[in-house]
Amino acid sequence: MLGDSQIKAESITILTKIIHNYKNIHAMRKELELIETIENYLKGNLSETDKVAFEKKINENPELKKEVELQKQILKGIERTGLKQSAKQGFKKHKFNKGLKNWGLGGLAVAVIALSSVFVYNNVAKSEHKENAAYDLPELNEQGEKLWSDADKYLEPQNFELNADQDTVVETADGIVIAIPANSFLDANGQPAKGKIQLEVKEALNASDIMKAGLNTKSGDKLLETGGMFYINARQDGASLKIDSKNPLYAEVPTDEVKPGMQLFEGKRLADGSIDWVNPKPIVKDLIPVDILSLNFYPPNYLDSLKSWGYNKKDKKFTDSLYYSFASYFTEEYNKLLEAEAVNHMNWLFNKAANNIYSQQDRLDTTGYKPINNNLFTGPFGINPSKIKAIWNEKFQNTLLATREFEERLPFIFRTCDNEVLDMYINNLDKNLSSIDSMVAQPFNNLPQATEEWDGYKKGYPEFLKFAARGDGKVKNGNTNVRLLKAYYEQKSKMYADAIAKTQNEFWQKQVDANLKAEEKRANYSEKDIVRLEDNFKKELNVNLDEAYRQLGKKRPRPTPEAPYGVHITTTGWLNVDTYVIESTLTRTTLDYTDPQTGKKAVIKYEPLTVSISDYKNYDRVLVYLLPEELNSFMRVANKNEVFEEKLNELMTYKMICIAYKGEESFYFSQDNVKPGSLSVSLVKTTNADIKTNVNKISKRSQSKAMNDELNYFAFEKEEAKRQVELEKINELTNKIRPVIFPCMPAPVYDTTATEKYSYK
Amino acid sequence: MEDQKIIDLIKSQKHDKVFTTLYKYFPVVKKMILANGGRSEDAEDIYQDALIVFYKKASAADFQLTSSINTYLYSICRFMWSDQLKKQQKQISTDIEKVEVNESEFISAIETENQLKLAEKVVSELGERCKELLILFYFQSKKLKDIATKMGYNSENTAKNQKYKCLETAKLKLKALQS
Repeated sequence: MLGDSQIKAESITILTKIIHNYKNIHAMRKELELIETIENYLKGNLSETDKVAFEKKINENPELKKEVELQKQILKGIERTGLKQSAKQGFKKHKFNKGLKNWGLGGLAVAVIALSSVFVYNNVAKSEHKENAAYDLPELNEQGEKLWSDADKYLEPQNFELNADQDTVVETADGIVIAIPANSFLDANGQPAKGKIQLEVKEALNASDIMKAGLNTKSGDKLLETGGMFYINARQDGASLKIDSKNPLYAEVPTDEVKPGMQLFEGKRLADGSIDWVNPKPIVKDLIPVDILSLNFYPPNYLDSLKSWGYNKKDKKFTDSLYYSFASYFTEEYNKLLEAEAVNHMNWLFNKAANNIYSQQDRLDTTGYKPINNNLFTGPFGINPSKIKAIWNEKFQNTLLATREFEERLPFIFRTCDNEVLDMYINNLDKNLSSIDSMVAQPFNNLPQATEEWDGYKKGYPEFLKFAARGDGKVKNGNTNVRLLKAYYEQKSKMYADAIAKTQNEFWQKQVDANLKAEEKRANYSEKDIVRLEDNFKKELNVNLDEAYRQLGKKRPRPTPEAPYGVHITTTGWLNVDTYVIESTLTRTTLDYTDPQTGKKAVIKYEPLTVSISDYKNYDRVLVYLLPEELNSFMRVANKNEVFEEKLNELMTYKMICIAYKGEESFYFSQDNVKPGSLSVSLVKTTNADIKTNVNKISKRSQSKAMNDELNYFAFEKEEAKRQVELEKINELTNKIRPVIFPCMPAPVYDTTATEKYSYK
Repeated sequence: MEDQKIIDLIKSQKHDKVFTTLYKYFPVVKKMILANGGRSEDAEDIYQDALIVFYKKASAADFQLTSSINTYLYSICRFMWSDQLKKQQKQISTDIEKVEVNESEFISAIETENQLKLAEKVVSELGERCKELLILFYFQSKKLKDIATKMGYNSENTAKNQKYKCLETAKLKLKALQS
């Protein structure tokens, strides 16, 4: 039992409880049936006899009736929630199906006018041009034909001059970015063009340009929706160059909205000056790998949350260890804790239920329920951090994980809370990113028991469609050793999970040990306290008795009473000196006794001492001790409303020591020969070592041993309090950041205030 | 899909297919609600509720379809939307097209559903795992064994215990809300 020092690290006591609870599992099975009674009753599963009996109970017990009613409503609420989910899903599916149909019919297109060569770099100065007049065109188009469309005539050419044997990137007026690798262009002989070439671009990305150019968006007789159209051609000395198909250009067209199914069409000039769009191809974009360590693979808002709570988000060691520590939720041990907790709860439920239903006593309430660990949830509830750890490293450089595009998807992956989604990306490093997106977007079902019954259960994540539509491809010349990386990932994620769980367990086990040790120390301390009080009492009583008998002029009988706490003052119906003296010593009140035979008096005065400490509130803890010359130990003075009060025995000589702590600072005051009355004490700052020296100096040898123990104990308590504060901080941070890391984890259900905290003050 | 086929699907509890199919009638309802001061989201909410009312009504053994499903659903939505406008003390547009369905057929069903909204709220605000577990067991009538495997519980017993824990939590929350 940890008693009142029970701290928040409740997980500590779990190990023993698990064993205990496992023993109960079998006994419980029978009891489980009882709590199911209401359910069986509602489902109509009770036999006629049982049903009648149960209905009788319901009628007799309004609380039970209420419970049945509540359960009934909840069951209906579940049905309604289920139907609603199904309806929502239906809406999505409906929209999705509709979308598919449209896609099949029309198709959306980005139209490209005749891809032949490229350009870039430096927009060559334009000549004056009259609005709405046609631009001058060369005799032959890029195909070597004398055929030009209206678009060719009315769109303003943008000319760039570049070196054919250099990598070049060009950006057009409307923002098309074109990457031109060196030697992309071939001359008439099929050889890479050398030296300066001229690139011409025409673009019609918005409606007004498209209309001005007289462009239509028809493919055959189908109408296309366009994301923009552009024309690229490169010439050298007036002759058109061809693009090397093995070394193609890469163009990014700005668009507000990427629609699923966008494709790239080629423009075919028709004799009437219009263009027909033909030969659609899906748009695929090469991915450019970046340093994987420069990407952010944490859950969304993780770093910003930490920052907003005053942590240093740039301290990668800290952010890593905090994040990865959450991997322990995915281990075997955690599952065991869950099981134990479920049993714990069932035990409690059953006891309550048994009391209520069968003895018809109190209504059900949860006030007595104390979960062994409030932080237990049934997983999976988010992405396993050990999986992230396994991929966020050098090994995965130059793969599609090491791209901004993957980084962009990660927040969505985190929000699915579905580790299979992450696995899908990691296990398909050789595929186009957009292909993986669409796999994730569609319903998938690779469960071992996949049957028709489960059909549609795993719904897929349609939000990934918009990624799929981007047509992100793969890293060109990327690391293709997919099998090896996959194996590495599987092995590492498991290894990390185990290692993290081990570290976590060790940490908590250490806390368990420290708690137990602290408990033992506290027990020792209170035991010593009792011994000391008893010893002090005996000694003081001895002093008092000697004096009382002396004043009465009597010889003190021997032996002295041995068991002061057991004295019954009126047991034999007469009182003697001893009992008066014992009572006076116990209550620390003045003895005023007259011998009925001699008329002689015995008086021993007890007079009050009050000590007030200036700036009392300033200190974390203040302690006042009296060291009586006549005793072997000290007396700790009681603190009553911030004033220390004790009654002094006139027969004894007292020294006083006051000690206070504030944070890491210590304060001290001492005085010899303390007399009854009111004392006001101002403490002086000092060190713990000085306090010890002083205490040893002014106390008797027997007292200094006890005082040292006392001081050591408080030093320990102070360290212990620090440890608790640290633990508290860890728990607090853990609880705060958990919803960020595991967005699908339910909030704790049960009240956590039931846990008492040990307080140092 | 013919109406009778939809009714058959409802009787065999294929709610997924039913709902997906029935959304084909949504545009008319949406138009009606948008024309009467509602937003798209209102239309979606109303239609969802109407689908549930219709589904439950049609699940009853003695249910007889007296008009087309399209008309029937439209009437429910129209009634619900007028009702909501009334509650917000807004003018009801006379433009809401009346169709020939006997409203008394579904008014009590709508009221019954409305009373379940609190319980639904409680259930839908449980944690995702609890919600999933309860819906799989009580709504989709999956076997505990399958649920345990699917949701990654160590044993059927754990799933069962967890199920009761969730149920208990929901009851407590509902009790608190009702008192």
